Amino acid sequence: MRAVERHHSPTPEDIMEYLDGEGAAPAREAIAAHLATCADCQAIAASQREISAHAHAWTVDRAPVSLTAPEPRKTLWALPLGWLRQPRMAALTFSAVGVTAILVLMTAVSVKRTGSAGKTPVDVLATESAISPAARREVGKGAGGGLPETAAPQVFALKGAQQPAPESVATPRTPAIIRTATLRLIAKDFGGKRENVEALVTAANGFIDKLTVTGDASTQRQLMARLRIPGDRLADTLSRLRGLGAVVEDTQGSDDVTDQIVDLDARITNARATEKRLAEILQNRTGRLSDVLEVERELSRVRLDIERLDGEKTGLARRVSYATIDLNITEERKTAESPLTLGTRIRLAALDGIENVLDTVLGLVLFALRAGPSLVFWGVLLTLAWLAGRRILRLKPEATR
Amino acid sequence: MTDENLMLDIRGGSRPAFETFFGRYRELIWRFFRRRTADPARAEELAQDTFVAVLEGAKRYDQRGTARAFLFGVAYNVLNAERRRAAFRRTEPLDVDPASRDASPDDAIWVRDALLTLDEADREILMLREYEQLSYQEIADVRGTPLNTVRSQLFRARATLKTALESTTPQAVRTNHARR
Repeated sequence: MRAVERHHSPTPEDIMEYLDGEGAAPAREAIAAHLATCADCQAIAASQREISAHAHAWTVDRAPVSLTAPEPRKTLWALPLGWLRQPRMAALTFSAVGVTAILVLMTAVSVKRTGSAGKTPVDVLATESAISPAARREVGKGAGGGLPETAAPQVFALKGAQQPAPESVATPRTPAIIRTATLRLIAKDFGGKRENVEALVTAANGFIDKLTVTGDASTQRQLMARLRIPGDRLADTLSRLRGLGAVVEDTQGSDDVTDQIVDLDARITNARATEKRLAEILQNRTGRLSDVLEVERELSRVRLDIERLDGEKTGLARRVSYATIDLNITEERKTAESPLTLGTRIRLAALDGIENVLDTVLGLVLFALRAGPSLVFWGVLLTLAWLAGRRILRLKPEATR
Repeated sequence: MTDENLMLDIRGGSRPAFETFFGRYRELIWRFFRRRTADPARAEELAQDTFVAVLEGAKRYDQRGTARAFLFGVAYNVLNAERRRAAFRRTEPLDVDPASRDASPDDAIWVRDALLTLDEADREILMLREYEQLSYQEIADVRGTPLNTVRSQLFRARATLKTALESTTPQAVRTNHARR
């Protein structure tokens, strides 16, 4: 382009615009007036017209007759929401539905696994309320059976009597629960706490299993006791004990020993039956001396078993009847505040700061370990859904501008 | 009735308005696709798709631009989708039907080859101006570019086309094509 054209007004672009019918009316009038007198601009205009004329040399056929006005497309199903017809919304909707379906499926699988793995205590009790026949046979063996194979025929005959009769098992009518409690208190005024505890236990018709008081007035005193309180008085006694100081720990637990007691009853019954039979055999004394001695030894063993089982059952019954409270009362000590030096306070503050930083870093690491896999998983899933949506948009002809 | 009023009626579901609008732009849209697509049958399908898209998407016409800009915007979307599909099939985007209506095939090939020397953006703007006769503002709306950019691109495209046309003649083009 010649230098004069650059600074000439109108510029070649202005002329092009004028020839194309563009531009504001005042500008067009000015250009038209200028073109009438400027040879250079007339040449530019001629060049522009020539370009257009050449371009129009490329013509194409007329539209075929088969190109007719289309009918609206009929959809096979009518969507209740019109916005679903938009590809973008359809892609987002299907992606969201897919993600939701995966979430529901994972939740259902998790719930199913939890349900099949663990049973509620009620379910366990309902399914295991009776001793199975196999277990009863084992009880019979353990209590008085299992005699050596080398025993005399009279002794062998005893084996037939070793199976316990189901009706002889004493099944408790109510569940046997052993209740325990732990109570830790801080008492401002420690004086008289021992007497308070003893009075509470006596009032509840319980007894002190053991009690220890340590320390004196110049040191921090502590009372540790194991109390046995009737089960029906447990709640009331705990409430009164809490009033002796500030509660720092208060836990309660229970242990269902119903099955154990039923099992013990069955074994005791079997053992007694075995004992009775052995006693009858001894009374007759019709066998050889060695056989008689064998029966005597077996009888002694069975009686020892009965005593052991009785003792075990008595202990369980006692623990069921009387709840156990582990009590700990500690005297509150007020320590004199000793003034800290500036250096000590700075040092402590620095240590606290470092500890806080370590806690924060540890917390971030733990969070990353817990949430990282989930975030990666969902991030990948959502990215795939987004890419799928974009692909759908690209492949469909859009009716937007 | 103006094109804009027709579009409003089409948006309201008027079939006669759509048929009128179709009649006005049937040839223009056909030629738009015929100059940009090698296969005439495919050009017809794309033209049909464009009018279907206008019919179904009329609700999105918001009167901010002219109805022609809206129509050619839809046509460009259809064309871009076709070009993306054609990229997998590797078909030529431009071709000429040997049975051109008026000018000689040599002139058509000459102009077409000269247009191919332009950048894609410049070529499209030039074609929209020369063949579809869109205004600068309508071209800006369709292409999504500023008005001043359209003006400068169009000027540059014409200058480049002129250079390309001057560097070859229809006779030279015929000779070159005979050698292929």
